[in-house]
Amino acid sequence: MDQSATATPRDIPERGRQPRKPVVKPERTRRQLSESRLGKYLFVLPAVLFIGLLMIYPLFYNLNLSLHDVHLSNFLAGERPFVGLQNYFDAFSQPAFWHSLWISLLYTGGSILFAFLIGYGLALFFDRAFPGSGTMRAVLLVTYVLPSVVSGTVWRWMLQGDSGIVNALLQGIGIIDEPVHWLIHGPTAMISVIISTVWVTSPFVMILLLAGLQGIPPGLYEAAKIDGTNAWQRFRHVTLPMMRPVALTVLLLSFIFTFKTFDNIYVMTKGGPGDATGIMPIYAYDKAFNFFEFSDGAVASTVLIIISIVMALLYFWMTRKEEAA
Amino acid sequence: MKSTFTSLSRRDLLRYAGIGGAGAAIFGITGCGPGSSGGGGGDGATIEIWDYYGPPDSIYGRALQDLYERYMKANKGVKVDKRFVTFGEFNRLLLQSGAGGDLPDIALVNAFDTGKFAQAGVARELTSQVEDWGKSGKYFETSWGSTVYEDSNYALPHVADCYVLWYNVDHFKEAGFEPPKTWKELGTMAEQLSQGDRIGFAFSAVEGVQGATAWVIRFLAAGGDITKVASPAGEAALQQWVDLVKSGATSASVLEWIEEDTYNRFKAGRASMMLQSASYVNVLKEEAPDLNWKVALLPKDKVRASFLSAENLIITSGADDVDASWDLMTYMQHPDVLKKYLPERNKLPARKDLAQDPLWSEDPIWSVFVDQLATAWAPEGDVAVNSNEIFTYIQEAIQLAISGSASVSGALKQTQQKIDKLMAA
Repeated sequence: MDQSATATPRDIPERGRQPRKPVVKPERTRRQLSESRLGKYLFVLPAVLFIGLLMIYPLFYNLNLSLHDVHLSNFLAGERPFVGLQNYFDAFSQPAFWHSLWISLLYTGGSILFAFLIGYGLALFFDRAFPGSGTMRAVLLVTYVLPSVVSGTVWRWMLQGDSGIVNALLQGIGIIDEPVHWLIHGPTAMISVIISTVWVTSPFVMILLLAGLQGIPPGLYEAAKIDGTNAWQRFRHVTLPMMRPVALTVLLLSFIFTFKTFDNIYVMTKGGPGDATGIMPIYAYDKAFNFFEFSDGAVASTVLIIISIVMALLYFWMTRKEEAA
Repeated sequence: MKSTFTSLSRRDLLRYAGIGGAGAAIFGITGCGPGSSGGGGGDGATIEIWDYYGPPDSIYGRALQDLYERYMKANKGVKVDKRFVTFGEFNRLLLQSGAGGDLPDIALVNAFDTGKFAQAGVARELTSQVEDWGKSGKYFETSWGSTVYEDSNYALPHVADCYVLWYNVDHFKEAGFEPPKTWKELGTMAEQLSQGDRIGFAFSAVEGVQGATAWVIRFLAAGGDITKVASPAGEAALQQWVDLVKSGATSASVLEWIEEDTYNRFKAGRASMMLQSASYVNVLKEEAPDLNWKVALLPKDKVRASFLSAENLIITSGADDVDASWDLMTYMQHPDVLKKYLPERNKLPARKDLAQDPLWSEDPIWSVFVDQLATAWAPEGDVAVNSNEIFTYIQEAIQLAISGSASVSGALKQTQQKIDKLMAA
């Protein structure tokens, strides 16, 4: 690091180099300071370019698209009339738009609820040291590292009405008599995509919650034991309050990740049957790339982004609050 | 570019004789070789061409790559750069490349999407080239119609295909059946052929465009007009689909099956009939050599109908060398080239004259496809431009009716409303 950038006038004569040019020295220091700053900015430049080109520009392009009337016949022509918020008003008047938002919230809410409960249970389980716990945790994480296209395809096969292993299993143990066509009825299709999402995300939830559990000072439990509490009371009055900040963070992160899910559902149901699992990302994709209504797709994408940004801001706010506490 | 093509055998002869220069002169006189447009394809040209058939090491991608290599061999200095893009991403990436000013020279597109790409300005108008070429009359009307948008040409047909009825001969023999002549007969036979985990009739009704194809064929056979699905033809077609499931003639899983699933089921002997295109002819021969199967014309109702499954070649608006691209496209339509390529690709010629070649007309399997091709329908005009939406809406009606979420007439009514709104926009 360039030490001269932080040198004081009193230090300079001690070095004995230019004691008679005190006027020149500060000038050079400023230049050096400026060069030093430039050098620092150059180090940051790749990251700024990366974020600008790959994140900010697409966001801006999408927003810009949503404010113009862009469809198949003028997509390449360049004549894109500015329509302001008209595309938003049009979208908000479409029942299909609100339906996709509702389906997104239903899917996200259902997935988070079960992923959190299962993840919490698993975290409590793995919080106790026992032989093989490390291996078991690693095995559980396999579901999270699988590409979602792969896991979606596997679930689609497993849930097939005629030849799926899920029906074979349920029939084998006598829970159902006839095969269930999981993916062709709206309610069962929604349950199916939620199950597949929970299967993927609950190990992730488990890892985060486990870190939180292991951060609780053991002294608290010991003190509670001395006070004569039972296991449930310690969980209720020590674990739950201590885990609240971590749990809220996990819930928020899960919401952000799940709300923007696309590939898993697209592989499993393509948003069907009908539009029963047609979450907003699929609605946006269909609008833009199947029906070539680019502005409508951009509107849906922008709404998705806004919701995700709000949740992200909430997450940052909570993180800061937690740090301040 | 000077003409360098001749028929395959002649080209080989000339090459082996080592008289390339004389060969070019002879060719110039005879002028009967593959793709001798006399246009582009100049030395040093690189033609980038996109397709969704598969990478060069896949079955269908290999056939296409071999075709390009034959062209490059005959046109020294010209490079054909094949790029595979998956079917699901193809249209999106092509449009995005157009927006980014980075289009390939040629794109091999779904025939129904030709109008879309013309409307979007991705496909370049080829009317003058087509008129100079003078071969439009040699094509099946439906195939050629798919290359036209607002009375102008934007493409050349690449291959054609259509759906026929595939049946398991052993199952039919056991039951004492002959291939059904009417859709009503098909329903009765399918019900009787179903036993155990075997179904009588397999087709795809999966979410999206693919799942509407089989139903559209049934609907057209009933005399339907695709923009009027809430009609007696629509009721007849959708009611039969519901009845097939209810009677056990087929499975409700048709709503989950892509066409490959129906093929796998037929291959395993777990479906006595299937509605399928020619894509699987060679594959089935290889994968199930012991399966005793044949194909037959699809049954009739009021008319006999099928569905064109085809690809067209477009020159994009961003093509660097239009003449070279046109030269390659016309080469790919030369009869000698197609006779080598199509059997490898499991497809039919879009050219009527070539379809009469013994290669297809005397083959017991391919001749059925050729006969059926004459009845194949493809969306045109505004219907073609909106075909993705229309077929998606139709599949929703199929799903609603088969799953019992709506009555046949209710499902059709909902779909009709969506189609009306779409066509009015």
